[in-house]
Amino acid sequence: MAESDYQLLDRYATGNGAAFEELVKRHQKTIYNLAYRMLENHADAADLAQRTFVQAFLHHQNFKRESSFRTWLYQIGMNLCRNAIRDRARRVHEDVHELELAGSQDIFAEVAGAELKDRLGRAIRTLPTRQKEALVLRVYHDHAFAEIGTIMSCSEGTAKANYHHAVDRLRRALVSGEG
Amino acid sequence: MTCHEIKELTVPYLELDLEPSRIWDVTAHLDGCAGCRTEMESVRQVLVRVKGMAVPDPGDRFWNEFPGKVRLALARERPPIPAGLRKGMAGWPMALAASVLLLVGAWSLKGRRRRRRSRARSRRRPRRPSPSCLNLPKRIGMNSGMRTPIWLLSKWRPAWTVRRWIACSEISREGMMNRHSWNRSSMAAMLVAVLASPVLAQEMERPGGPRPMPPVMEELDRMGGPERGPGGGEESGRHFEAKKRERLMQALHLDEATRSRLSQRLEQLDQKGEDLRRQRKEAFEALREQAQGLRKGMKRGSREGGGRKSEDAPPAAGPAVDSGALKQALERVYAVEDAMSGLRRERVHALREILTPEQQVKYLFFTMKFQKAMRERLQREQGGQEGGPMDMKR
Repeated sequence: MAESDYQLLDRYATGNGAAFEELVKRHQKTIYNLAYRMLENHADAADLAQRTFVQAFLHHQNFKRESSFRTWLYQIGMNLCRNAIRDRARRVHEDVHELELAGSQDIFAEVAGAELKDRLGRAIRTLPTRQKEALVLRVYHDHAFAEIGTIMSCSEGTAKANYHHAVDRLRRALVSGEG
Repeated sequence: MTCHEIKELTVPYLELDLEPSRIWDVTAHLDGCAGCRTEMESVRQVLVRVKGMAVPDPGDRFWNEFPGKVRLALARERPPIPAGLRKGMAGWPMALAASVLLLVGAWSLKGRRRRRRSRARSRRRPRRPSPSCLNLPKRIGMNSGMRTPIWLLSKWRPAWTVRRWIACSEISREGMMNRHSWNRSSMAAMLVAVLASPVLAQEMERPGGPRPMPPVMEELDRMGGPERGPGGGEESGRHFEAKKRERLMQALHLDEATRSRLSQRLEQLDQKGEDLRRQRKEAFEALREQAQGLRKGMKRGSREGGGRKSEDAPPAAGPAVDSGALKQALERVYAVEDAMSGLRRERVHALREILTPEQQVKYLFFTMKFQKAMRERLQREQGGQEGGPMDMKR
């Protein structure tokens, strides 16, 4: 039977390296996906996922076990994402649509196919951070609103409202783009 | 149920986040209202499309290496400091050491003052106590401590005995003070060293040079190969250009003739660009000199004006700078900037001449993408990992 996160964490606290590895492997994809959804590029997502785990293991004594380890990781990751987005907003950031040139034969088809996706991507990118957080956690990570509230440090109702506003904004963005 | 209420319930309805009775009501309304059906469908489309946006998988190698990278990064981090001590951690040993130093200093000064007083007293006295005082009986003599015992001052003792004893005790005290003051200084120094050592050790551990490179950048460097030397910005700029050119040529799938033509032309333009960059640097240096002169002149002017600004006072003396030279420096900068714009145009012309439209699109997208990647890399390398304050109360 697989050990729970708490048990692994206890073993890590006693200096067990295997427990550390198991915990990272168990959650690495989730945290990377979260970071990628929020930051939208591999380098930043990989960096942020790594920092999330480093912060979690550095401060594991502060984890009071009122929520699951995964939720706590989400919280740390989301805080780091928020900081990264805030820092990024300070810099002049020219948004260029990323194209994989090496393998592409028909660049025009690729550009046309990416157009719709890009419109949605742009709309998601322009969402306010809280709305984007709620959307990402709900749509891609299938969290209940109560858990989203815990991760976002807000009430369940606020999380729900943020999510609804995000969907409404996206709908309006797509309708205006198609029209 | 009104259309407005349906609008409010659209997302919960699609997410099955409603009570069964409400779901029934909404479904009944949708059956009879085309407008709400359209709206509901558009929201559903949004959710489907959003859900359909996948995250590219970075590959097995990345996942296998990830725990090792985390372990490495964790080892690089300093051990966490207890939250209670974090605030003002660096200051307390120094403050304590300073207090101890003050105390020891005051103690030593007190001793010196006493020694000086005793010396002055002995100078005033014509008859200094003879060394024979050392042969005094044991109970009066050397081990009598710092204070003169009161019983010694009683009347039945002859006055000379008392005087001799006091003098001897002062001498012995001086000796003791000298010996003890050395001991005190060394003890204070040792105490300061012991107290300051954790802070010093922390400072020594902290890398003094550039910030530690983010692990992702290390990885990129390793993938980038050994050619990236420790040269300055210019060197690395050239390296990036060469790398970009190499990857661009691969991505464009050019035939041999076009490839050599394009590389030749781009090399010429690169050469020209390098000359222009050098000229721009020189022009800006000249301009900076002029600007410094201008600033000095303005400062001098404000000083001569007495720093007061009255309504009827004449304007401060003008800047003592050669306006002709300043204009010349400015013109030089503008000329170089013009030439650089021209170079960019030339580059575009060269591309239009040599490449097909499809290749031009690839070239432009590739350049934009590459520049973005380089800019981000540069920002990361300059900015380092900025974690920022984190809220981890849970």
